[in-house]
Amino acid sequence: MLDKEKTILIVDDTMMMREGLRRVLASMGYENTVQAEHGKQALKIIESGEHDISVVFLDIVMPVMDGKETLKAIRATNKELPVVMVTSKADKDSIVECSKLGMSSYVLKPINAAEGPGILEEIFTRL
Amino acid sequence: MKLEEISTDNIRNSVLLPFVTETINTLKTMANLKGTSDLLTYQEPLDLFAFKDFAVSINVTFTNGVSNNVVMNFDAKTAIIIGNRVRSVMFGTNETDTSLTNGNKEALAEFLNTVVGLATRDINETNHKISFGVPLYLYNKEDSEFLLDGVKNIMTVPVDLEAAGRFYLSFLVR
Repeated sequence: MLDKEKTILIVDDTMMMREGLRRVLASMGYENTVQAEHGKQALKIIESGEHDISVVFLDIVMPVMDGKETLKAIRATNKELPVVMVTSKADKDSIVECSKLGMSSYVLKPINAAEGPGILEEIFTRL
Repeated sequence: MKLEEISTDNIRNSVLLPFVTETINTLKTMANLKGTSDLLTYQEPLDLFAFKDFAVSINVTFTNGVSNNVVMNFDAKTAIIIGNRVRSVMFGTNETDTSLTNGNKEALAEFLNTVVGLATRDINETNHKISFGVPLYLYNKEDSEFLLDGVKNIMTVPVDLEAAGRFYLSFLVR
C-alpha cells in the first residue's frame, strides 16, 4: 500500500474533478497532493523535483497537452513513476492506447466520495 | 446516413433517443437522481421554442453537410438541483446552492460532457456518418438566438426528474 506521507499529483483541466479526487484522497489519509491543469504544468512539477511526486493521476482529455502526450513525455525519462490514467466511460478505447504507452493503471470518472476510496485503495495495492 | 434517409423517424431513433437514454443513465450514476421519459416525441412550433435558463447545444452533421443541433434546455430550478446533486455525490457533501453558481455550472458541464460523450459514442458505434461538435454551454437568451437560424423543424422529448421538474432534449433540423 502506498505510504500516506507520499505526494500525489492530480492532473485535470476541471477544478471540480481535481477537488473531488483531492477530497477522496484526503479521506483515505493522503493529505499531500499537488494539482496541475494540464500536461505541461504537470511535467514542470515532476521535473522540478520540488514535491517528490510518488503517483500521478492523469486525465486523458485536456487542453494544452493531453494525457497521452503527457504520459509519453513522462515515460521518456521515467519508467518507474506510477501513472494512473483517469478517463470517462465514453473514452475507454484510449485506455488500450495508454496501456501501450506505459500507464500503471486506470480509473473511470467520476471518482465520487462513496465509491472512490475503495477503488483507489485497490489501485494502490497494485502499484 | 444519406440525405434521403434523414427522416423524422431516423433522427428520433438514431440521434435523439440515445441522448435521452444516456441522460437518464448519467442522472443516476453522477447525481443519484431518477429521470424518466416516455420517449414521446413532439414537433415543437418554431415560434414557441424558447431558451429557458441554461442550455447545452451540440452540432450534429449528416453527410449532406447541413449542421443541425441537439439542444438540452433547462429551467434554473432543475439545473440548480442537478448541479447540487452532482457535487454532493462527488464530494460526499450536501450542496444547497440556490442559484447557478460557478460550482453548479462546472458540475453541469461535467454531467453534460459525460452525457454527450456516451451518447455520441453509442451513435457512432452504429452510424459512422454522423459527426458531432463539442458541447456549447449557453447561459442567456441573447447567446442562444443563433440556434434558430435556418431551423425548419424541431423535435422534442421531455425528461422528468423526480421532485425536480422537467427538462427537454430537442433536435433542431435545418
